[in-house]
Amino acid sequence: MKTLTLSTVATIAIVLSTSLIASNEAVNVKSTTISEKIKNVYSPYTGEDYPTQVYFGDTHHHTSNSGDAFMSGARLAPEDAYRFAIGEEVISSSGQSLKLSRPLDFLVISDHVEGLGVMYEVYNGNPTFMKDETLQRWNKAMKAGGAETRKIMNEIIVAQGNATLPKTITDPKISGPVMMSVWQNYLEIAEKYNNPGRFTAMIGYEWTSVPGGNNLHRNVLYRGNADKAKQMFPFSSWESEDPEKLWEWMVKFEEKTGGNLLAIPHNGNVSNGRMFEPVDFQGKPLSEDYAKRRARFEVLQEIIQTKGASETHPSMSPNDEFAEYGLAGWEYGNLTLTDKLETPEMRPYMYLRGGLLQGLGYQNTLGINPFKFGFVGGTDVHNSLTAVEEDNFFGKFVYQEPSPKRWEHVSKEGLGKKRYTWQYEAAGYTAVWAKENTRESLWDAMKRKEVYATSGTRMTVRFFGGWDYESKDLTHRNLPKIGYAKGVPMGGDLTAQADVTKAPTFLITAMKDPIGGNLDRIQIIKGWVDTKGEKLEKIYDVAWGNANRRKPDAKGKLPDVGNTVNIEDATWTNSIGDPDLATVWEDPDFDPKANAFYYARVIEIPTPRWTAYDQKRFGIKMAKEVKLITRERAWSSPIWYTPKGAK
Amino acid sequence: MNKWLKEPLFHFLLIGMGIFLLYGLIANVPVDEKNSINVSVSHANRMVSLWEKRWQRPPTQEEFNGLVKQYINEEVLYREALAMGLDKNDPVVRRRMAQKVKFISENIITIDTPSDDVLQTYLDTHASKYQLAGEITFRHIYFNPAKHDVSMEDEAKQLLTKLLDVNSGIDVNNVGDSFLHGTIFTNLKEFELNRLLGKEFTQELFKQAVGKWAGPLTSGYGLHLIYIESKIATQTASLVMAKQSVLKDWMSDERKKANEAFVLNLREQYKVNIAKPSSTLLPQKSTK
Repeated sequence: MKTLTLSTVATIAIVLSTSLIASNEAVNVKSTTISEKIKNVYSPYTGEDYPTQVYFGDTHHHTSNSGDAFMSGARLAPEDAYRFAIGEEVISSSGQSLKLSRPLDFLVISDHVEGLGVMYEVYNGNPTFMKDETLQRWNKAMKAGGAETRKIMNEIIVAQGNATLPKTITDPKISGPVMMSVWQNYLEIAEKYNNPGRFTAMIGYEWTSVPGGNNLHRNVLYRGNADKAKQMFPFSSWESEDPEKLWEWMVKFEEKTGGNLLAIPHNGNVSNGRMFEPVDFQGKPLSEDYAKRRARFEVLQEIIQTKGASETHPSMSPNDEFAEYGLAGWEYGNLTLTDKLETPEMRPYMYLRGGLLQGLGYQNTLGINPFKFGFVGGTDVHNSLTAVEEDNFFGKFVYQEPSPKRWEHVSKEGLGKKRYTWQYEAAGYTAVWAKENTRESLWDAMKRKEVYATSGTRMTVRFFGGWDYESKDLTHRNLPKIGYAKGVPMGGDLTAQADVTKAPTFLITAMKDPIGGNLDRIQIIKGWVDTKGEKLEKIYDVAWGNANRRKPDAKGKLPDVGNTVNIEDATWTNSIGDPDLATVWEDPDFDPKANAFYYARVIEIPTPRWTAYDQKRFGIKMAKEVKLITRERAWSSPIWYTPKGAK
Repeated sequence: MNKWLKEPLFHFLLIGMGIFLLYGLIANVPVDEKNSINVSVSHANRMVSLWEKRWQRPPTQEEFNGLVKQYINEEVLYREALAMGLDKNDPVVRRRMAQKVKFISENIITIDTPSDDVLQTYLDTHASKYQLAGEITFRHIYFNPAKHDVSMEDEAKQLLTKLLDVNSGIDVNNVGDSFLHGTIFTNLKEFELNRLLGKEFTQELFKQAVGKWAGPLTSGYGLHLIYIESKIATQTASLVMAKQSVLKDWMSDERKKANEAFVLNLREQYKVNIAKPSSTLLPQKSTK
């Protein structure tokens, strides 16, 4: 898409800024240089060498090749997952037909590599596996279906967490050949559906480390094609549950194949304080070397998925009025509700805002930030169906596909707590700013963190940081051009200015999903470490809908946007909020000596949650604690500020 | 002595002994082979290369010994299983054997390269699979409902009247509200426009005439007056453009048909009797 512009910027400024972003260093393009260059170029389209398209997809997705998916009744294969993602109608494992409102632009199928395809063989009664008594029992339970199967599934997840899976499965001599052939088959299907320019089937898998039920999973994403991916069988948590071992393998893969990999940790919310713990897997304090390698491979973190949100928690962020989203049912404890209950002390080490703040601290002490990550959203569906639209939600597991009873089904029970299906979120997507829809272009954007996460809405969010944005930039016919010329996009870095009186400025724009709810507001979330080493955060409302009649009160609090949701009919109207919002914001509390990060959060007006559609369509009434209204949102990747002379 | 040399009984015994010896010679060999397992050089090589393919390195001596041992044990068990008739009535074995015959048949079936006429007919009957995405270049004037009241549609219509009047001298760059996706869209594919402005808007837009202001059209964002510079509607590809994929699809269809015919052909050699299951085992008639 090209847009008409009145002025332009020389390519050199863009090349300069993008190359600096790539090298992960601070960017500071002086506005005087820009205006000089603008005068010298006639054609308004030169210098448009930046991402003009945002692509929506799922970075976290399981098919029946994943053991736990198969156990829970999933029978759809990777091929079905791709067909559904490109917009075809498919029949779910529970026999219901469904279709997306709009095709997705990309999909990363990330099956658990541990036991890839093996459960299918156990189900089939492969004699090699039937020699094992436990597997024989699992075979019977799988054939029995229903509650029997679900019991076994939980047993497997716990066994995986406690490393007590039967040796027959974990012995590479026995299960290796099965897993390798399933991996190769998956790669063939990915090649078949990868359609550059139209749909990207990015190659990936999940490394399923969950020591003691504390979730440390990572999704590994491949930049290249199957010819590289097939050269080495993926590294599994059966070989090691230590993330550093995974990074070692990633280095080996890159050296051997010439390919590139990145890893996305997810569900910090069920890690019981381990996702950003201050020690490595061996219990030693984080070293500079650890920080370097984590920052290199783990440039993104999943902030939202069906298993809830990992942004923050009200106990950490008491002033964040939108912090409770996606927590119900997930804030009790870890993935399996085992070990111990979650406590407020754990939270700064597991929610992403806490992780970002810890990272700023390490920037001060180690001179490098191990937790310098952008945000992505995924679904983690285990039924081959990225069906996470509120009015089209097919659950995480097959037994959570639409039915009048699904909401009250207990998915996990432990430590005196229950986690219900209604507490799963119909979420989320990763939005990628790229020049074209190809594996390489999308992967590169992920690597430079020019991505944002959404709760399942497809709103368009631009977020730029620099020193010279001004309100009149908003009237520019081509905002992105100004955005890239005067600063850095989401995921980038700002460095100190010689002029200490200057504060950073941010250009933020948001457009609603063309078929979604209007926008309530744009917020900037700032985190910083002051000179005493204290980790602080503040939330600013920077733009909001209905601005003509909606003013902040004396304390600076913005009035609620209102609510048009009709629960009974599961409808809403866009009579409140705005279809788009745009603003330039300058940090009023800037301290040039303090490490800081800034990210944008865009909140929609209230809309019906998937539970409301269930109530309406099945003619049922849910218990009063069930949430029926949601606030869809997007989280931009942060932009970081590092003071001059910092380590 | 000579006498019993000529005795027919002696001849009979001699022949009998010969036959016995001969039988022993002939029959004993297979008996020996039946109880021997040979791992030939080529077989050993194959085991090594299969290992390398899986693990990206050659096996160690120990691992190789393990492979051989595993093979021999499996072979022993396999032969015993055959002798015990365990291959009968095992659903996994049944499925695997049936699959093997299917694979063989797929390899045997050859399909001649079709003529262009055949492919053209195939393309015509499966036209929906060979669509070239439509493309459009247009500009628009946006009306943001957050910045107007209920009279927004009237305002848009009034502006359209002025735009259609050549004498009004309106500067199109200075009317309407700002739109974050921009005001001019160049060579945008239909599916890309679907994503940006929604399906309904895109469908309506493609129906409008080229070179004339029209509207207002409704999108999720509000109202738009539009002016199309050029458009190519979504259309079916010609055979020249889509020949490769048409050929591939035709081939795979033909192969499927041939395979079905192969099974059908085999089936005709069997007399098939189907008994009705006990009525309680089948689900009751659907009440739908």
